[in-house]
Amino acid sequence: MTSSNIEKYSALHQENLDPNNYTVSLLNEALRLGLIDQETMHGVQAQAMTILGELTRKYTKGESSSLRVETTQRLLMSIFYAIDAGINNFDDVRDALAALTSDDLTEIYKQGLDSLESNLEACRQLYQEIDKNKLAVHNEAYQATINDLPKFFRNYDILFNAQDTMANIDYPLLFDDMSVQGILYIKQYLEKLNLENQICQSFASEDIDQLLYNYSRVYRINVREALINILEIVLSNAIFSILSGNSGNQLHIAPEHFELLHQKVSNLDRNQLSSVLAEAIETLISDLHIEEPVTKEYIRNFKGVLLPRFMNALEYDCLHNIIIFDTKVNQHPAILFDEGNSLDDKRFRLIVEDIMDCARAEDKAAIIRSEIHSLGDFIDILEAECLFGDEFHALYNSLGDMELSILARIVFIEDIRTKHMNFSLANPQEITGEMEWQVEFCNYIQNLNPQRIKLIENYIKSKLQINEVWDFLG
Amino acid sequence: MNKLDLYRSMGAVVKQLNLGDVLALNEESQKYGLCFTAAEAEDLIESRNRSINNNGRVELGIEALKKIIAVFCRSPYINRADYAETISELVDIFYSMKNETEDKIGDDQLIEMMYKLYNGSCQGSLDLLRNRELAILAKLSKRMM
Repeated sequence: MTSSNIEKYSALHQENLDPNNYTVSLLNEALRLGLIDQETMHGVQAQAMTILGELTRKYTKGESSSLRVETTQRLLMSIFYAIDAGINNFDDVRDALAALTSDDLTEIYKQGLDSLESNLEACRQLYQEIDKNKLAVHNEAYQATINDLPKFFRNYDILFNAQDTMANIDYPLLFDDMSVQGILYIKQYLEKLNLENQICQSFASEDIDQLLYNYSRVYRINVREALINILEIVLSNAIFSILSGNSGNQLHIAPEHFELLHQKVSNLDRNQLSSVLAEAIETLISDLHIEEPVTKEYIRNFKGVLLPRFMNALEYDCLHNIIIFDTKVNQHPAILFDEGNSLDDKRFRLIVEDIMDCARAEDKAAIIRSEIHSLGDFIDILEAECLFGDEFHALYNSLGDMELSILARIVFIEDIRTKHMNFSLANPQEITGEMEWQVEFCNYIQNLNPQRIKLIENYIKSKLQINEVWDFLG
Repeated sequence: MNKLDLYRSMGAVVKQLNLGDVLALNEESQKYGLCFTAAEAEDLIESRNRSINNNGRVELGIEALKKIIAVFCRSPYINRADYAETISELVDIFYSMKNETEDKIGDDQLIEMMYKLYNGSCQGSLDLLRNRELAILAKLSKRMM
């Protein structure tokens, strides 16, 4: 090779070529650099037209010699998609160019079709694995994407429409390459989905469920309908859990651990935070016993996503927005039922007036949380006709499981007395009293998720934390 | 190279080949007193190219033109004076009909239908062929799709 040719070839870089239009961009670039001449280019074009003519005959079953421009365009794109697949195996771009300009283009095209068929078969097998091991999460995009994939396999047209990704892919991956098309896009999507599922399966499914439930409460979204990536939420909390001092497969973070974490990281600069995250990620990989290099790399790449959010949250002091607490332990009792802290009548009346002046349920609940500290005063507020309908729910939402269990013991006292340990909060038989707060409490409890109901019921059945309740009730 | 430009880029070489193909059809058409001069054949190819572009279609050869010539040269309604112009118009009607019928009718079948209507109810009128008979055909074929 002459020295000028060496220079020209050295200017031919993979990164200057369009990976989704590889053949055409390679030929154009080679022509521009003088590595091929017009005659060579015409030769390749003539071969492509021969392939197009044959494909047109197949498409029209030999009954038509012409097609609409749009249809011909689509066939040409399909041809070049297959040719791209045929030369993608060459690591060196010079070898790819040599094949295009010296080999029979029809042979490269056929090899490309074979390659696409292999990819399609690989996708079918990947799908079988994904379908068998999919996560039992209540997220419509996740389930629908997996359930709809068979339709893609039935409809994918390697010959006449190889470049078209005709699938309903709604579920967002953590890292998705949307610049790729056709079966190659589906393949990378399925490979990553499979990998994400495998990582998530290192965690207990009930822990993931709880995390998603807590996530929905923090962000006030319906996790069932939202377009969220489950691995992103899981990895984020797992990493913060490690930083809080837990092991890698723990997703629960307690409030006191959050405080420790906050103190640990609040004065770190960007480089230090980056190191801290990197270290936590390596701990996570080790704790989850992840051996596959591809999986390790996938998790390591998450640092690039998490670090900016982490830094932003620290800067604006909203770390609680990216670290999801477990509501089992997270809920500080909104009202500390401290019977030594009852209000005098005058103060109580003023608080009732303040509550009545509020238009929003959240504002009413906020006043009660900050001003009411005894169970007696709390019940009096509930009965003071300053809350109505959904306003009770807003207040109950701010209570922890223990506090709800105390109210439940009041509302269902007769049922509990009758049934003792056989009492079921999910199916209470009777409400003691017919005050609005009691009726609304019953409605509120019935709409909680079964896991939470069970937790509250456990409190009811355990030793009562505040014995004054019984004295108060006489 | 853009993908569709490669079709257009063959230019002069393809044109030369096509000219020969059109003139070769004179051997059969002469039996009916019809033939093209070289200039007429060249104009016909240009007209065909315009027609296929105007109708938003792509054809890698001139098969449709050759078939139309081979079939219509037998028509009693075409004479030497208007041979090239009539074929040119028929080619345009053909490509238009391919679009109107959404490529559901094969080339041979469509050309036969056009021939029968031209010689039959249209009695050699291209205007009636395009605007009455084939318009009805286009409507019928849309209803059936």
